[in-house]
Amino acid sequence: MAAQTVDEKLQTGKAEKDKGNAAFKAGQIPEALRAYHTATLYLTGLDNAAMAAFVPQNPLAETIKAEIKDTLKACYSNMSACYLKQSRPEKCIELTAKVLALDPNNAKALFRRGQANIALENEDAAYADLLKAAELAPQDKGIRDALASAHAMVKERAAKSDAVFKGKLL
Amino acid sequence: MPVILQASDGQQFTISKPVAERSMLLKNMLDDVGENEQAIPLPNVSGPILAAVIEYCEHHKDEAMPAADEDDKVFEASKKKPDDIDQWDADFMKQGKGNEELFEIILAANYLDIKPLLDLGCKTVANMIKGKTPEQIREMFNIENDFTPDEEEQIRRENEWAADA
Repeated sequence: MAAQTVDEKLQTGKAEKDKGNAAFKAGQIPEALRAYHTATLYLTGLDNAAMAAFVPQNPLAETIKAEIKDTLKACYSNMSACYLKQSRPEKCIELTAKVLALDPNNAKALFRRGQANIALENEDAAYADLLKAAELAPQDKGIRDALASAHAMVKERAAKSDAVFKGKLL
Repeated sequence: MPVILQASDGQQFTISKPVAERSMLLKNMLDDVGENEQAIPLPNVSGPILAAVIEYCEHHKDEAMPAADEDDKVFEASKKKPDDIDQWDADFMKQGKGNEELFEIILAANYLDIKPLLDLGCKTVANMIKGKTPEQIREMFNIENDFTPDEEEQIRRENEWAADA
């Protein structure tokens, strides 16, 4: 078997991503995760420009690089949605960080990280992400609802600590 | 249950789970998909390089895994020293490995996320460079000298203070 070219790997990666999306829509989360993992196996490590002096490689075209990046971003983003569905907020946060490293103003990633942090009761972190997500996507009702719950959690905690202090002082 | 890996040239390797899990990339995937008989494609690593990487992982399979974010949190200067390479590791990097193979192992370690192997590869390269003249380093890594004699002379003068350090 001959090794695939970069373009063939990109096409395989995209096909795996699509397979993952179909499995996700059908509610088959482990299958979706397997396909997204497979896609990342094809799409990472393609750009070895830094090592070009030692391991010969033709430089990749900018359009190919952008396409690889976009597909990887979609895979990481969809994986974070899988982890949220599986109630694995720590893994969700790990993957949203990868999306945000490629695209810092990604409202969906901020939304999901916010939801994961609500699940972990990190209300301050959740509130900060969701506030930013709401600014980026003001029409999104899901984000607004999550922001409202994070806000309620922050207020509730403040009220609790107030009560504790008042109890001590009286 | 064993794990089957398939290299870019189609060559397949059957290895045990603890060996596969030296790679954080594979460990994360195996954690998510559970046991499965399908081969895992590694389209960006060739068969011979994957064989070498597996040899390394086999040898180190019983060691404690390094903490994932250890390097981000604590800077342990001693770990970064290039001269504390374990004897087996040093022999492993030397045996019949030309420069291109060495660099491909570094790329594979980076791709598969095997941090100790990545460190070992980088330390090996650092040791190859240490104590060499610019001409020797250029020759070793096939680097073209793109300085004019004047520029080179100027750089030499500016860095004279460092020459015997």
